[in-house]
Amino acid sequence: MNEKEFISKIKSLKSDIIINDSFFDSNKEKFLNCVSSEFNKKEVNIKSSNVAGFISLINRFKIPGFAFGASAFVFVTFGLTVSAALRSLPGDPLYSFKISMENTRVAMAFDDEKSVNLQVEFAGNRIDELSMVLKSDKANKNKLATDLVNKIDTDLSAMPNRVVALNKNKKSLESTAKGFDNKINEYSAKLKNASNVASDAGMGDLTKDIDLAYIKGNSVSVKTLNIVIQNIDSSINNDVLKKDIIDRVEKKVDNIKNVVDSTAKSVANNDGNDIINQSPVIDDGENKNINTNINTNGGGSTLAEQLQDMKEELQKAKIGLASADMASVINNVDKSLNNTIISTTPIAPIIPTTTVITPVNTNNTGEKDKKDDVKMQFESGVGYGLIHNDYEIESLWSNGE
Amino acid sequence: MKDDVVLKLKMGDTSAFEKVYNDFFKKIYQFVFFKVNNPSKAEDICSEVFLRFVKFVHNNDVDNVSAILYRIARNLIIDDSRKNKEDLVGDENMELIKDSNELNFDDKYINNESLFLALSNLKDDYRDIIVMYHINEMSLKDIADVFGKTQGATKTMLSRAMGQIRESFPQM
Repeated sequence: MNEKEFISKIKSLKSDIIINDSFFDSNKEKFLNCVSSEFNKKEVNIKSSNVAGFISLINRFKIPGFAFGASAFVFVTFGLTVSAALRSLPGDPLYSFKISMENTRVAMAFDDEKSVNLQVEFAGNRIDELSMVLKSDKANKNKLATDLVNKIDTDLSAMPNRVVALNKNKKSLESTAKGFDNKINEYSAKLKNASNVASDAGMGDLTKDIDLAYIKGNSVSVKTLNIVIQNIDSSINNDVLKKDIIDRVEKKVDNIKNVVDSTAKSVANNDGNDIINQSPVIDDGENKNINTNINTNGGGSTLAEQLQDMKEELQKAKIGLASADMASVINNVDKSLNNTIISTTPIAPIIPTTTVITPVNTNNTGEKDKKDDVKMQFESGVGYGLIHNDYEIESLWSNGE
Repeated sequence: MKDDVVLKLKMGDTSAFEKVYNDFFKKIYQFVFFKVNNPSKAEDICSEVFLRFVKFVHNNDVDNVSAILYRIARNLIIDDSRKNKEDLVGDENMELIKDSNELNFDDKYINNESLFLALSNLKDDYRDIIVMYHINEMSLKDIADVFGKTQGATKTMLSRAMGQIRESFPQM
């Protein structure tokens, strides 16, 4: 056994040590309670130490006490307000102040990269708030959570355009896209937890929305990574960067596959009807069922198969790293994932309806009409996610709908 | 970005603490488990590590979150072993160690159990550095912060620790 094998043996030891998930969660709650109580004490300490400091200044400089008293009051009150606002949740009185503070920080960012990073961070705040709202006993938590999911969805969808704005500086583009991708891994775990909490609470629609936001986040990350790979300087050997990006894209496909698999299992358990592993069907208006093979290069007929095909394609690309097709592989995955988002929406059973969903005729229909058709199907819930292949999903992204 | 997290921790931002918990709890648990070899004891110590971390952040400057967590964990394990020495290595494994007069394992028999025993038999610092570097995948810089040494000295210590554990497997 050589050194490398020996080290990998040592690394494998960690798989033997499994932490009890319920302990992990219950202890987290205890830990966060401890944080709240510890730092509430701190606020009192700041208050008393500030008062002592001001009194000593008054004595030292013989300056009228009332002026310092007023300043101290404003200072302490503002500090406490900011601190409370940072912990506020949607529906709380200070929540709009928190959002204003975030917007101000974005507006005052020194450069575009810092601004994008802040927006990514604040999207993470919304995800944290979602978890807290779901655990709270707020009466209207379903609505608050739904609004938050919509906000998360919108924030994440806007990312590719923000990254494109960094295009002038390739290094900045690369680091921002990678930073966003790292955050998406972190946010995915949080969204998965939120989805589980919503599911346990019997909030079926919200669970679907969260799962969709999860899938969209991962897909958007692929889109931003795609922008990087499209901008790689071909005159320089960038095999390491390419491999890194393919690894990241592969991880995103895996993430989506996991949520699709687990949803399929849960649907199968609840209804005995495994939707995800069926070919999606569409009512074409003539009461005929048409298999919608979502546009993937592998041509698999179910979502799970299509995602597996994408993964295999990425692995092949990694092997043929020097090949010039690298960018087109990522591009294909990016486009396929966009379609996957649409086709994943019918996690709920696909109910044949009498409403006619007319496939778009790209020759005769204007861009606006196409978007309106798509929007109409989403909003009406009719043909939930059954989008004909001819729709240009790209336009959905760029308009943040 | 790291500075942002530290700033948020100092402000008592629960989302920053939650991130620390999510990022480090499992690693600290593994680290503690290798020393106490007892799931419920490891859970107790880990829980205490994170509660003490909150108090530490409240009262002190924070520069390296992971180093602070590992330092607290090491101190708590030492305290615990002083109180109850037999818990340091589980009874079952103690018997196994006693049975194997010398921890020499044949190459083809290197399995997780023999490796675990070999690790248990190392001196504390050596076991800690192997767990931190190879199992918890910490950087040498962070490990150096935990031990209060330079990166060069930490690298040398890691190399010695690996040499020591390899001696338990003379066939390699």
